[in-house]
Amino acid sequence: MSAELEGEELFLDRFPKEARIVRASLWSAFIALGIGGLGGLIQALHRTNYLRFIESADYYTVLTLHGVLLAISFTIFFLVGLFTWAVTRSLDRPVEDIRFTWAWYLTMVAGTALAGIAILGGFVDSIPISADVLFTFYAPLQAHPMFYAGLAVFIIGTWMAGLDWFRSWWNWRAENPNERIPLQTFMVLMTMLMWYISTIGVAISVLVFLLPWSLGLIEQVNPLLTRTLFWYFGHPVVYFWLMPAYLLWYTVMPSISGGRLFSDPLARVVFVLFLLLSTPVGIHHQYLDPGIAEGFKFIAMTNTMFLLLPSLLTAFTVVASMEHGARQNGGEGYLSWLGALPWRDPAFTGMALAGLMFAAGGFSGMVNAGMNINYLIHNSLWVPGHFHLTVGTAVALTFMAGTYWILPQLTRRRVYSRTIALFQVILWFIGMTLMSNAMHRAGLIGMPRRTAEPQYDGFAFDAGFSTVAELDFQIAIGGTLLFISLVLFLGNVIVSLFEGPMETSVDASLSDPLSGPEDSPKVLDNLWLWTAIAVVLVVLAYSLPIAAIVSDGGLFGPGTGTYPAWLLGVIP
Amino acid sequence: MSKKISRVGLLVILAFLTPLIVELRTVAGFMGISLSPAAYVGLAAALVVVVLLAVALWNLHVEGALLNRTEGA
Repeated sequence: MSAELEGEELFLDRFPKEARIVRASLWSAFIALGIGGLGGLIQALHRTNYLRFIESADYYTVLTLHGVLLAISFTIFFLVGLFTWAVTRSLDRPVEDIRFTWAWYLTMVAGTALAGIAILGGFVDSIPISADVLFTFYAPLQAHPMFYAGLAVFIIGTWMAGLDWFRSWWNWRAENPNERIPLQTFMVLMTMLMWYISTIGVAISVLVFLLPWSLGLIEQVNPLLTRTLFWYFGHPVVYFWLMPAYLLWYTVMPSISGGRLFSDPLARVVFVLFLLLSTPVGIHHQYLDPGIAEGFKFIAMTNTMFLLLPSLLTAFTVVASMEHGARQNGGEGYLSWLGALPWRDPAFTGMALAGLMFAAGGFSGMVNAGMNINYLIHNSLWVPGHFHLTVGTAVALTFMAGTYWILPQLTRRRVYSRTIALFQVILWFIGMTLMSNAMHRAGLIGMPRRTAEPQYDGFAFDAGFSTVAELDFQIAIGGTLLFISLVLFLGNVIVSLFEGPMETSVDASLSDPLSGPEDSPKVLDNLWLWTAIAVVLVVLAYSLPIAAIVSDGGLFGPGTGTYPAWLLGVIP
Repeated sequence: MSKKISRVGLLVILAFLTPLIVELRTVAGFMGISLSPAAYVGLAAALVVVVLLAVALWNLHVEGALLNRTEGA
């Protein structure tokens, strides 16, 4: 990899136009992070009854804002920025047409603005616009058409971004016909192939059902069908958030550890497995949906358990790379080498702690994925406890830590305070430990998620060895620490921009893997083959369940014709 | 010879101990051991001290072994 960007030249100097779009994407992500994070604090304090300054009816508007801005806008804006950086630097060529690059960025901004306005309209009673449909936005909850239109526009923007990166690769390949795809570009392309396959579900759901329904063009929809189409997209989107974090863990973390990636071939295998297995698993989110046969759910569970394989391969490869770095730094012994890792570096410590949290999230994810034990925690606070470990820490903390590493390369500004940065990543880890632990425990005693009023009159949860008040306290404290950490992150990054330009250079080079691409079979780079297999797996997993759902409940719901309602006014 | 644990080291150790301490209460609770929050905080503090001592003693042990090896050579 180092050969791709030799020397100490900053990305900003080599690719100034691309650096601008990367910066714009990251800033968009951070704006979404700030607003969405504030929504998280409001929820944590409201639910636990520590501080209530919104009506409980508005809680769902805040919840939607929190979910959409963090799970869609923050993650994906960061992804497009990081992927643009990764493709440009690993292919060592500028984007093909910077106008097209700005076009997809502005399309995504427009989509976010439309969806955001629709959500914020929910706070103002005099405006007939609202979208209190939560991040999952399937029927029977209905949003204003502007919300669905915004989502559609945003996703079209991501498709255009993917096309931009594919164009770079196609042109690079024409000039380098016998070269292996550089690892970072390979990761980007595999992720985007997975994204194209998985967003078909949400595109159909929005454009064919939810948007026409919201506009009044069709009378009703089949709620189970829209749920199934959402979850067809809703699980792979988890990997869409995770893949940029993986890219940083595989290609950046070994270098800042002082070592080299253990195995390039293993990294390629992991991304191939994610392309194959991410999508045919979504039904595991629907174990309690009555309209899907148990056999289909069992298939989804089996596929989901296979997903543990790439996660475990990643744990092995990343830790092996870290150990290699530690031993280069003089680390010895079975465990003493851990002390030789660069814990003073906030980029490293943040990513390492994020990886640790991801392991914990993987364990609670296995509970979610098991058909029988899922019944114990389904729709309980356990589930947000789980995904705050995965997307809320493995992804978000890696992105924040990655920002400390990449920011100087994009701005020629040092991070204002590395001490604050180190404190910030550790504070996030501690805050999430407290909040997520309490959420998991509350879920185990049956406390529901997605509600402003988790306590019901005349009923008390049996909290076992502690009390509900103690769990609430832990959630409130954890949420507050997370918000303080978030403010420190944003403040540190913003103040960094006002620092004078660096006079000395930064080391932006990435080390070569111990086992390089020459050690991996060429078939791993055959994108057509893996895409074809992924499509076949999706067809096998989804064709019969969707046929059964449509057969049982009708394409547009039971008892209605399969034609748009407005046709009634046209046809005599 | 002496090797101090830096402030950064303390911070990192605290980070790694936090989930262990939090989960300790969960595990103890499921085993039927119920502690008051005050007793729990005391136990957590004791655990932190034990871990720090263990790290310090381990460092002494490693450095002692290295010293012996150097002198032996």
